[in-house]
Amino acid sequence: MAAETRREAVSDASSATRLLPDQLSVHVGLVVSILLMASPLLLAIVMSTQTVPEIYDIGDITPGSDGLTNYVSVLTTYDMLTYMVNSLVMSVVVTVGKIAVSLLAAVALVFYDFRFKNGVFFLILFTLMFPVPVRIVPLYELMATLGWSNTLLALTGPYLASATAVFLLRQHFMSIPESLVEAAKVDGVGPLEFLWRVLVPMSRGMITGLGVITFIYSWNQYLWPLIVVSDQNKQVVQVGMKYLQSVGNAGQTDWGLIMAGAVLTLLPPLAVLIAFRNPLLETFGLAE
Amino acid sequence: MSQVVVRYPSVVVLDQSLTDRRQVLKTTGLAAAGLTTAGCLGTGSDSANNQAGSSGQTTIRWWHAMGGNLGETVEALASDFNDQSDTVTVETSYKGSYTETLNAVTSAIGAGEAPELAQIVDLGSRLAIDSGAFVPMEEALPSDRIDWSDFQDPVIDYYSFDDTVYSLPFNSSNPIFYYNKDMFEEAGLDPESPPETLEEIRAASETVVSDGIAEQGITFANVAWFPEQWFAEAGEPLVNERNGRADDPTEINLDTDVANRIFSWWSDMHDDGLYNHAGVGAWGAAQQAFLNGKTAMWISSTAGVASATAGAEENGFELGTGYYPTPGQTRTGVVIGGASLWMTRGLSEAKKQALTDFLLWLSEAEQQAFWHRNTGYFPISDSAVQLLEDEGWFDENPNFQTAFDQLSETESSVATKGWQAGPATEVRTLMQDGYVSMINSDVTVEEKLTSMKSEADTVLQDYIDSKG
Amino acid sequence: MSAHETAFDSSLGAYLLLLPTLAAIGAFLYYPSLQTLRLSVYKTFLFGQNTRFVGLENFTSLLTSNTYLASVGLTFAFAALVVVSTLAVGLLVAFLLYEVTDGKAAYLIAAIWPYALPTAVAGTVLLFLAHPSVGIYTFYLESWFGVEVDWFTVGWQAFLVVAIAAVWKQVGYNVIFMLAALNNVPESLNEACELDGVGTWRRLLRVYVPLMSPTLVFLVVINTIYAFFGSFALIDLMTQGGPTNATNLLIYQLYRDAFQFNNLGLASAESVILFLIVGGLTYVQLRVSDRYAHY
Repeated sequence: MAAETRREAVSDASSATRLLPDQLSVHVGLVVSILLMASPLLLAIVMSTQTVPEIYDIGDITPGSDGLTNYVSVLTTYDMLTYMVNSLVMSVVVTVGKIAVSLLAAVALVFYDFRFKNGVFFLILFTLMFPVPVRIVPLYELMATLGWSNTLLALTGPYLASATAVFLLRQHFMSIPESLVEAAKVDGVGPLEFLWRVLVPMSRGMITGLGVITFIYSWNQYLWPLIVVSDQNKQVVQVGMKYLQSVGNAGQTDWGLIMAGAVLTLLPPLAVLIAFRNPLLETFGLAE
Repeated sequence: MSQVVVRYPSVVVLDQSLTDRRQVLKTTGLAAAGLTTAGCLGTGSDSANNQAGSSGQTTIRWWHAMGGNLGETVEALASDFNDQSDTVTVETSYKGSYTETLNAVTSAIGAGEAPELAQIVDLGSRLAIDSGAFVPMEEALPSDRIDWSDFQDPVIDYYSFDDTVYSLPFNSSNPIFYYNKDMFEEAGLDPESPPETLEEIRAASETVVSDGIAEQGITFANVAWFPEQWFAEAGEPLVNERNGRADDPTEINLDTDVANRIFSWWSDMHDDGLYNHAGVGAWGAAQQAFLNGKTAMWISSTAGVASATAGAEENGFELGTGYYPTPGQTRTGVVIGGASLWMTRGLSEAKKQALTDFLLWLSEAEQQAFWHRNTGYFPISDSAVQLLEDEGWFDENPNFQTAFDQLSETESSVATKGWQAGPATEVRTLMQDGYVSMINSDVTVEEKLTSMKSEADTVLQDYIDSKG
Repeated sequence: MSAHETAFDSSLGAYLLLLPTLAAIGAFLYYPSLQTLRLSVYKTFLFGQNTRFVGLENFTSLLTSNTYLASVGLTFAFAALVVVSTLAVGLLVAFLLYEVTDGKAAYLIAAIWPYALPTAVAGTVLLFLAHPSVGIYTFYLESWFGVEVDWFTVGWQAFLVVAIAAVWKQVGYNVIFMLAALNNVPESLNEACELDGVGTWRRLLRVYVPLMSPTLVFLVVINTIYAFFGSFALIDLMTQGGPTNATNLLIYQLYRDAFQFNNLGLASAESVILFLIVGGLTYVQLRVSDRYAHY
């Protein structure tokens, strides 16, 4: 009897505790924190529609009268379209290149047995210890020696090999069902065909996820393009925003224009994130 | 069992074949596109090296640091030249600030890919010479086709080392004083008689601020150029070894009275709310603050006259200009600023010829006058000045004349010749950061000057050591 | 030997497949890293025209330079601030996402979008919104709280602003991993908590955090690396190391020495020191986690 009551009491109490945190406060908490994190961006969007005098009327956060003019002019007069194309080319080449190269490496590491295999894997993994700043000076000189300075080759080459991609793909390949591997052996299929016809289809989610990660990472690069590209019209959009900072009308910095530039710079990776969020989240282990 | 595994699940294959093909296409297509673009972007700089272009044109690459309206004027000059020449094409390339351009040039030198023509900032001259990558202009340009005496003395003097003219002067400036005539009137100050010394500026600022006419009296960017100019006005060299012109300097004269006076004035103005600290290197922000009416006065380069005039009109006030203020009662003069053009060593005959043609054209009075009218950099040759006077330009645009007059009244001396040092960039950064320290922390001006001096001396010595 | 490993026999084939990766890491990772080591013991002039062997002189001059030592201190402080803040904010948001029952998918996307936020955009936007003269945040801070916003001159304010930008950009990434870790918490544990009447915060801190510890350790490492290296764009766009070196982090000092002052030997020495610091920190973090993490 007493036990029953206690259980009842507990379940009453637990439905009380289930109210804490009640869904309302969770929702409120989420909305507040999301708004807080999004507020700079929202403000930037609003400000990007304002004219210079409206910007300098500081308390004014109502949508301005310039509408989308800033977007048009930042793309055309201020060459942001050129920078965006440069970024796009760079990011696509790096994404495609990195995945292709890492796919090949992962196949070798999983489906072959050879001496030094573990050594090679370790060699690849160890490169995680050398982020760009640790090798930036000689890397820059190397570009000069190869004659790659200020070219797309310099922008993309150093990013083509990736320990992370090899690691993730290798993990994934190791979980390919044995039956498929056996079938390949029996059919005498070559590694590349095996890759195209079996591995890639079975890894679409991961490959897409990797693609998203790589694209976003590559779009985000700043320091390396800053030093290796000296011609403004070959520069990527991240550094391009720096050029916008000196734009002004009769000495007044046109922040509305700069915000338009910033918003535009954010759009491609954001679009990629939203479009491919499911494969991306899966890759991170956050299955829906 | 074996029957099941003999073939891949055909369903999977059928479904995947389309995606596979698409992916293969995507991969190879994009990669191919990428590599082709890489090819296009990559070979550009290689093929321009020492090779006549396909149409018999020789291409000259000109790397410069002129942005905004200055850059547009550079491009206009280049395209004018290209139009009137059927053998030479000048390609301009904006590389960013003076520092960024200098870096781009020095690293291109290291890679053996220096552009034919480079615009190097005045203080970068020592480094340019030491790099050995450039040939002195006096040697490169045929003496029968260029009249060096047509150039103004201070300008030619500045860019001469060991009695040889090393680079071709192009954009030369002075610092000048700008002020808002309307605000002066409101404050009861004489709008036709601007302050001429630092003390007078302080007094004017106090009036303007206490009457509530402007937030602060004066603004200017925190750039080492201004203290350097104050040294010159006071007749003091900034560094030893005859201001770095006789040999690589080893000491900076920040332990002098002059230095103390300058930095104390500067820091007191800030502490008393009379000076708007726009920021390190913040030319644009300072210009903004002045044009927006936050301050009544502004110091900047004469290269800003064109845009400042437009800005003052837009903001509805009358712009006045005056000489650069002096730290004391003596006025020795100013050092020219700006940059000059350097020719790379080892060019082929064709390139050398092409570049010579361009440079001679660029130095003609018409071009110099065009450059001046569109920027504010003063005309550096007597013939250009003559041309402008003849068309009554200065009469209609008195603000453009200020810098020029100031230059012609400058006494020639070791101090006004302007300092030189290899690691000038680093020393300037030290001075600029040093000032921020003075206004930000409790350190006294004297203490800070002492520590700035010892750091700068080390940098100067390091440079000599690294030259080997 | 698994079936996988015997799928193909040719060793040559394997190496051919590995060739692009190995060539790339050889050329762009190992070779430059070794070169950094070599350059660090030379004094260079311009871009390698003259080089003189000077042994450890570059290192000693760095370790006796006040500017450099200040930079080291600043970077550690910055990393600590950013790592802790990012973890705290990330944990809060991830926890809320975990607890909410409706609209998870929508909230999720709204919460992780900063993952796509480029660092340079974060810096530019905050530079404007918190600008001492024209920023809207400045306006409200000054009028509502009477705080004087002057981070172009006041060092610690600049430090804070850059840190905030850094945290903003990095939170999305943290949320993703933390939520994944929370999702792995067995439901039975949740039920047990309910039955025992464990309060929300206790549940988070006493139960979930220990369970998430491998992920948290991973994030500490990632966030540290980000704080040390990824903040470059923020500094370059917002403060250029100033005011008076208040935001002169090691990565920025390195950039200046290499690419503005052309002092390659010294910059290489700085790279070596950076490598040692980050490597050391990573090692320490992993060791500490070994002791405290519950797997």
